[in-house]
Amino acid sequence: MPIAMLISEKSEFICFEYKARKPYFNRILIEWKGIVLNPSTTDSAVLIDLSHDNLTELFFDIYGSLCFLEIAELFEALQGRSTLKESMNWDLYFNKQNLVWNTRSEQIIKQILKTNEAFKSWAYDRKLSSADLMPLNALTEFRVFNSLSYLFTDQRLTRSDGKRVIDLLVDLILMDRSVEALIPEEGQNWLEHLVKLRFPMTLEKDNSSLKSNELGELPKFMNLTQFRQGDRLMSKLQITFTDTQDLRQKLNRLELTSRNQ
Amino acid sequence: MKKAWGEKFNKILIDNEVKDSAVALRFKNIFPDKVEWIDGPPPSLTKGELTAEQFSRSKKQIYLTRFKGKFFKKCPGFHKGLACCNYYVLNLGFQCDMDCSYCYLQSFINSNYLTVYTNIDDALNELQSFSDWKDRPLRVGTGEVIDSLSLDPITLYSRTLIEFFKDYPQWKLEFKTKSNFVDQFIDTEHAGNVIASWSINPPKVIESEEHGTASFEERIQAALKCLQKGFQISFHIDPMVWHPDWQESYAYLVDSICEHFKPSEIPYLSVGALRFQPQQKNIMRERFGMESMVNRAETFTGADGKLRYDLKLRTEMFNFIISRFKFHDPSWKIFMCMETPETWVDTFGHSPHHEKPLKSLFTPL
Repeated sequence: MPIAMLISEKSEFICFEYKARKPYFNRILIEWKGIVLNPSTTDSAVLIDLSHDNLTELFFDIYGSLCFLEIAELFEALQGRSTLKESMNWDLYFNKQNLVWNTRSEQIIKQILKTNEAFKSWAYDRKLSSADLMPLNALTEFRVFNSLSYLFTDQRLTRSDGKRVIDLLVDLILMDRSVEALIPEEGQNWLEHLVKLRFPMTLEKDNSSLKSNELGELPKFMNLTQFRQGDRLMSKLQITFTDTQDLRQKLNRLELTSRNQ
Repeated sequence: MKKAWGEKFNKILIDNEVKDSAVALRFKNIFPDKVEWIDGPPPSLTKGELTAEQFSRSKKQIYLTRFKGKFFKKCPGFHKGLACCNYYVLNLGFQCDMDCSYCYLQSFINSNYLTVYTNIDDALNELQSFSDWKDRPLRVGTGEVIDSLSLDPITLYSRTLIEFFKDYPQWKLEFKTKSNFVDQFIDTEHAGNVIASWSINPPKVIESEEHGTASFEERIQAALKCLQKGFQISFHIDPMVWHPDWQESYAYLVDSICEHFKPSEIPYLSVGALRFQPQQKNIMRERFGMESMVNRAETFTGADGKLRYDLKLRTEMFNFIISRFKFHDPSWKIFMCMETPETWVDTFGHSPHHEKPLKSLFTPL
């Protein structure tokens, strides 16, 4: 039944306007009910009509596993092709990608499509999942978010830091922080900047705790640092020494100091 | 809080299997125009996580069915790393008709319906199978995944449970609620082992975060009514929600409780601070926005993975409540709910097992 032919031999077909961001199968062009599913620039490629096949399975065979952003873009491209849209079984497609298709997935797809290319490109590079992108559901408009999205790439955010930035950014946008306030100063880490804006009370307390630590003045060979670990402020005391004798002497001095206090 | 049932629910689905149950008949009488009879579970509108809108809608759609699983479970506080107070739960349904911004149901409910189980007899049979424990101080609550009393004027489960617990005087039955519906059981004879308890917050927090619940004053009045009829009462000041005037607000709460009740009238009080699963943050933010005190909270990941206030702030909040109660009367008995032994030590100076009035609660059964 399916007859392979050179693309130039068949003039009546439409190209589906979707290209996955990653390389995908396009050595042979797949035609499904008059639509070429995997566009290619090669005009002498062999065209195979697989109209009798299941469209969802075909998409999976052509593109394999897609990251969530690519799935969102496929979803968008299908909206303009009613024949394809009606024949696509998202439940099955998501299942093949080990994901669950429900109204919430559809909601987050629609949200990510509102972001600009700077963000999409970063989200693709970092393979963000639907759960990573879920904070975007709270945004009703993307003006501020999109005007800051260049920072994801500029600051070379990792997936883990980027996830935190998205969450904080959404909070702060909804708290009516201006674009200017959300931009870090030159050389400043964006995540740290947003943390300061989002948790001012806790950070102020952390800082004052550092200034007024109850240990008093420490010997010069000791270094006290404080850092936040989840819901608690932790302190770290370091002793520098050259050898075991030096360490013993310093520990003795420390004991004397604590006795005198 | 008024029983405006008609406005509250859009649809009542009743499984034909339970159409003759007392609860189904009562729902049918109260909502004649809203009842739909179905065979088997309702067609699910979705699977997996609900959207914010679907979650809100699920509070307005009731589904009556028979539960085929286990009704009786250990409280989720029975968790490695948390101090456990030997609490058991009896789940007679799930989802809640009220709408608190911090509600933990938002993190796991994936049904489009507020489900009420009609086979309370099976639940009681299951409880009866624990009759070997008749002499142990078992504490059983019905308000874990559904409010104990907010639908009780319709289900009347409180009356059945109180009757059952008369044969188990060593056991305690706790109704935990944010409603003020107590009239439906207030006349029942009981064995003195029924605790009506209120999760309570200052008026400011109730108005901002606990939507559709009884007001502070209504809860106090309902508790007084129960007390007058010989029921034990309790208050759970949980979750404490930080806000700029939190000390003033919580001082008002403590002073009001102390003004209306004596320590001898309340076996114990519990306090807890805001906590929720990180994944719950998304739906909370979508449903209540950043005006909510809960969503604006400065929370950090705790040892159990939940988002909580800074440890020192929590300790400060607990100390404030506890010292204010103790200032009124040192004999008030207070414990902390779902807190780490570390917070216990920071607040009380020792673990719960060493807090004399509370020792029995925290001793493994």
